[in-house]
Amino acid sequence: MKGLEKQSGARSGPDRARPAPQGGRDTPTLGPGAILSVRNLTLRIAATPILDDVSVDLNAGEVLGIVGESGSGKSMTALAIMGLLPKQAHASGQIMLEGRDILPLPDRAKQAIRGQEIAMIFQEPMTALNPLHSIGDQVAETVRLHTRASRAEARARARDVLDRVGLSGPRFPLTKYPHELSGGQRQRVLIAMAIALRPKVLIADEPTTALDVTTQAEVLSLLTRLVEEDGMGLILITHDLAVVANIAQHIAIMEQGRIVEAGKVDTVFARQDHPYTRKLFAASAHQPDRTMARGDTPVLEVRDLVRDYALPRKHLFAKQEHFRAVNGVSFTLRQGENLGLVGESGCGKSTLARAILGLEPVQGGDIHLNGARVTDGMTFAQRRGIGVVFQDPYGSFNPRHKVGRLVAEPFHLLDDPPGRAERRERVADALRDVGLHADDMDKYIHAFSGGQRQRIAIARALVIRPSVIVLDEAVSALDVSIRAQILDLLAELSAIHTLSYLFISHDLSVVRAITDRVLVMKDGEIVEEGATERLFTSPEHRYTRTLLAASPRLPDRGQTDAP
Amino acid sequence: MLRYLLIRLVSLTATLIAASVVIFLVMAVIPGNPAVLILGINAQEDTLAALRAELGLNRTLPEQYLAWIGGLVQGDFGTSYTYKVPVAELILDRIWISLPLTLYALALSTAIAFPVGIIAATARGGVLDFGIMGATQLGIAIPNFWFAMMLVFVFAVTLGWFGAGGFPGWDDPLAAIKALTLPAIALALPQASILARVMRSALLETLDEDYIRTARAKGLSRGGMLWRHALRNAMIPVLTILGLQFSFLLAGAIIIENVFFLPGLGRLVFQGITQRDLIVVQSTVMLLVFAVIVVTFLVDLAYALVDPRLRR
Repeated sequence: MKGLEKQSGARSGPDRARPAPQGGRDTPTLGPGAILSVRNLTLRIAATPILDDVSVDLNAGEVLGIVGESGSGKSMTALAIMGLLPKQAHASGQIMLEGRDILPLPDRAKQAIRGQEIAMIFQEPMTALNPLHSIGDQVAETVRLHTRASRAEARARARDVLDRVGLSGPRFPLTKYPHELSGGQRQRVLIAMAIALRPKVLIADEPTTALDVTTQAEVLSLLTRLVEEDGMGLILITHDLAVVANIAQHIAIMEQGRIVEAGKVDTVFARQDHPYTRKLFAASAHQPDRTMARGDTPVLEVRDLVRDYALPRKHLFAKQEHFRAVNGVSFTLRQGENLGLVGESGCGKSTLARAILGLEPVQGGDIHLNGARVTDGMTFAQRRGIGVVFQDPYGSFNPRHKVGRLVAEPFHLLDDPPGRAERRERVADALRDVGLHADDMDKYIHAFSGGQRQRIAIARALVIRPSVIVLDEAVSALDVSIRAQILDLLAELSAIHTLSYLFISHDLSVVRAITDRVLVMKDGEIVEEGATERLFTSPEHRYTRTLLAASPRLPDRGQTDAP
Repeated sequence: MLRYLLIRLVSLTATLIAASVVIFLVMAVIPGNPAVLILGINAQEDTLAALRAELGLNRTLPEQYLAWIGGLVQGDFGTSYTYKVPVAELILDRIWISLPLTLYALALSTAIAFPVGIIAATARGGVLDFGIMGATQLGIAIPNFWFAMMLVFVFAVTLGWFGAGGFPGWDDPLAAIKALTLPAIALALPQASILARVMRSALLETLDEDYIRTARAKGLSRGGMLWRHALRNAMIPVLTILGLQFSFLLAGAIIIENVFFLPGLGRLVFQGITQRDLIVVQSTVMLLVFAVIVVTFLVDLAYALVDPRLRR
């Protein structure tokens, strides 16, 4: 019951004695206004080295962007500052908070710092709030933990802070529960919780990655405003250079547990001294080489498509109500064409994709695939004409089958499935097509990285030579450098096999890089359609303009060595 | 919340009606004529006919069903064929043993399982966790009648702290509780083992959630986080198992009742079955079904209290 006894200690938080400042110790000289200074932080978990000699400074009232790909150690740096490292972690170096080294402090002393002097928000707003407590209670808890405030005072404080982050009283009473809020609103609650006691340092770990672009822009401007108003320092951890470009003053670029380049954002962006920095920039602004192989034959035609969902009945005898997820959508995809479909979450783009793939019944309109009407379901022969690649490279494969069998799955759609030898040959061809080895077919899926898995998913879609591939957020979960490679691969395959893509994404920069034409979807309808360059340079619909304005962009595209 | 309650109430009533029909039909089709059983196989045909008429067995099935249900609603559970006394009286005598015994065992099981499960979860992968998992495995595996006999041997026969069986009645509450203690422990051991494991796994799952990390980032201690954020979220599977255990203990204590010579509901049903006293079986089973359904309803209510998402 050791864990439970400690609780009384946490309750009486404010009464706890603060550890004495480490007076006699040599403190490294800090830059003017530096409130947090990480010095030579080295970290290993069990025997695995995670961080190697990481040093960064954070000034009050400034934003420091830490940028890197997955596994670069950026989140571990944040957790080390928070004192929330996993059990087997061993850290050395110094983490100076206003001249005091907080790294060696016992957990009890770190508890007093967490939430009060250093606060943190995380990537997944949907799951980061306790579903059983009201938002008011959760914000007030931060206040009650660290101050002597009474319950009523804490609630009053929570009200103030929620107002500050844009969740005003009448619409967002303290009694609201997380499930009643959207992702963006939940992230605001988390921010409110973090800034309630005006911490000196706020760490935001991919705070907007799970959010739509317009919501992302709102949350980022909220964070910028709070930094200005409170004079706190913000460490913004992200994989997205463009996000940092827009709001940070300083940047540190991490690769494999080390900081490879750091400095003022403008300087780093202009100089790009380290090869990895250049690689990151090039990948972020990557434009695959695309040779047009376009024909005029329509391969996929969608006319006035309607998809209704039945809503849960309000009471037992209520009339059945419907939600129209796709409302009268029409478009044509021609041979060899790459068509983009953009829109925010809930706009109906994935529902549209599922309807086209014949995975869901439609309530109106028509779908023609390669000239045949497939609205009410597809024969095997027709289904051969369309393939799909989904977002999650980890969840889309049965882990118990070898790659050869996974890639060969679509063969059952053929009237005359090939024999064993021919099957292996065609799988080998498909694997080579996507840049893997024929030998890979005898391995299991867990032996491959995320990018390689996405290649296998493409091979699986490709193996029976469809004319259309639906790519539903197919590169969204990948790091920028891997994403660039997959985009190149897609462009190359499209040219070789005269493949048509329906490229669904929330990421406008990717859509711009790979598509010929774009559809913009909002509330189940296509609000604008046009050639990609035209649509991005002179958008006509108000919503398209909002989307474009909200999506962060890298400055000085010309300076990067993108083709 | 009101809507949730109403839906639950409607489903509760529907389940009760369906269960009563099933119980009635099963009793009607199983072989064994009560009249023959009462009078013996050599009885005269006209005596049998007279007894059937007296018992109401010559009416059509729907008539018999309605008569039975009508009686139940008014508290008339019928008259036992063998004891010739109202079934309600038989049940009432025994429920004063079975219900307290169930609650006693459940209280013990909860009191053991909660702390043990929590300790195992917080010491995940450690020696303590390993030991607890082993002990609970044993607790589930040991047959409870054997454990009951060991309890009798050690605490009644050797040490003489408790009586070896029987029930003195509730005139002396202390003596009654004392008489129920060994049976309650015997019943609670396997239940506590199961519950502790459920508690552990529910808590471990909760501890991996993102909001637990948020709670730590706020400055909560491990204990505070456990108490305020993890436990309540882990309660839903635990409540489900608790509800099931209540139902099981109420009627499933028959072996333990036999070991300790306690005249409980389990024994009543058992005797009813062996003596073909169908009306006793039918009414008692219906009462148990009613208890199970009410407990399920209460568990549903508890869910709604714990989880605001269900209150819509």
